Amino acid sequence: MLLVLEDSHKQHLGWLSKLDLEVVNEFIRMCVEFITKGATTNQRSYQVAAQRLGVTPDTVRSAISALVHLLTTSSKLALTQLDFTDSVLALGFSSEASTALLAVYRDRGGELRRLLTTLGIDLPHYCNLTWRADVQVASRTLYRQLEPILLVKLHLGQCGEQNALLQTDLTTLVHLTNTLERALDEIKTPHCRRIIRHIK
Amino acid sequence: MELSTEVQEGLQIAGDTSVIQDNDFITIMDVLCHNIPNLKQPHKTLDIPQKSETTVAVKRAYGSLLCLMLEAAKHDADESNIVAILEDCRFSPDRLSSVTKSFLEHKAQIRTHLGGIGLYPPHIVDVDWRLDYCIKDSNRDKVNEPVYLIDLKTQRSGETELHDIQFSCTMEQLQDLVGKLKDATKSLEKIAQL
Repeated sequence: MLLVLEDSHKQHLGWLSKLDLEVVNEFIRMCVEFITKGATTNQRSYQVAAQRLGVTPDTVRSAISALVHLLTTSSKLALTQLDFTDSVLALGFSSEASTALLAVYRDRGGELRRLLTTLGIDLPHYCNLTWRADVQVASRTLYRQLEPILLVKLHLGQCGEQNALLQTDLTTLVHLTNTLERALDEIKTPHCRRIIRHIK
Repeated sequence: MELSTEVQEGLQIAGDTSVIQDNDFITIMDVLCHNIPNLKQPHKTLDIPQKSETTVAVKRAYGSLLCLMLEAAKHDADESNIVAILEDCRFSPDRLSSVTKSFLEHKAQIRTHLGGIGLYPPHIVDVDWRLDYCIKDSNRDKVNEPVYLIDLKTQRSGETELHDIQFSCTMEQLQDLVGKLKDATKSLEKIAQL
């Protein structure tokens, strides 16, 4: 499958493809920086690059944007390495430049895909669970108890930035574990397997 | 288990057949037994339209008996503890056995209620789950992975309504979660056997 880009993107990438390999490599480096650190950090390097190449900073910015778009769209569509190389060659890049681009796509593809995941509809995501087993022995209103209690800290969010401190008793815990285990088993049922097999 | 002098006096009134008539005592015990299971919202009230002196005595007796039951349940008292206290307050064998019987009958219920008082983190009471197979989203094609949506039902201290804690997880994450819960179950089961 070849990547289909809009004309404006093709135009910007076409301009980039005619430059020396060294310059293209430098643009790839700036593009990676754009992806990892954001758009605002490297405005200065755009100006420097524009001065050296004798073009306006906007041309440089457009080329970087087009390059980022190329990489994110390829990641979005989960292009194979072969399809990616073909698409890049079709855009007019030299084989050396396409190898360099492929290296970035290969190395950064997973990271890009993860970044794209965070842009989607975001429910709190399970991250980790820590627990502590306690025995409740007495309280102000009730002496002589022997109640096993499990304190649970549920870490949610991309890297566990949301926490929920909960507790539960043994009976509920057994029920909870069994119910969730049944949920796990569900994916192995013929019904689920059939769906997974047919959606490829 | 210590009772205040006020309560002890009230119990002596409750045990005194010359102040509280037998039928009034039966009414007191009836209202008491009716209200204990609904300690949060007791809805049956003492209704004894008599001379004011007896009404005050009946109210004191009722309050003291209720206090005795709650204190005894709090201390996990047994029959002999209750009998000793009531004998000190000169209860007749009939009234004594009536109080002891209803205490033993309701003790577990009162202790459950008392155990629920206080501050504790939201208590997980149930769980719902849903299994989705994500095909693609606005930012990614060919996602093709199962996504579990988990909904923990929790109850906060002093509230009856349930609150939801929702989160999503992949199959690997759910395996991790279930593994940890199993470990926790084992530990808690060991403790429960003590």
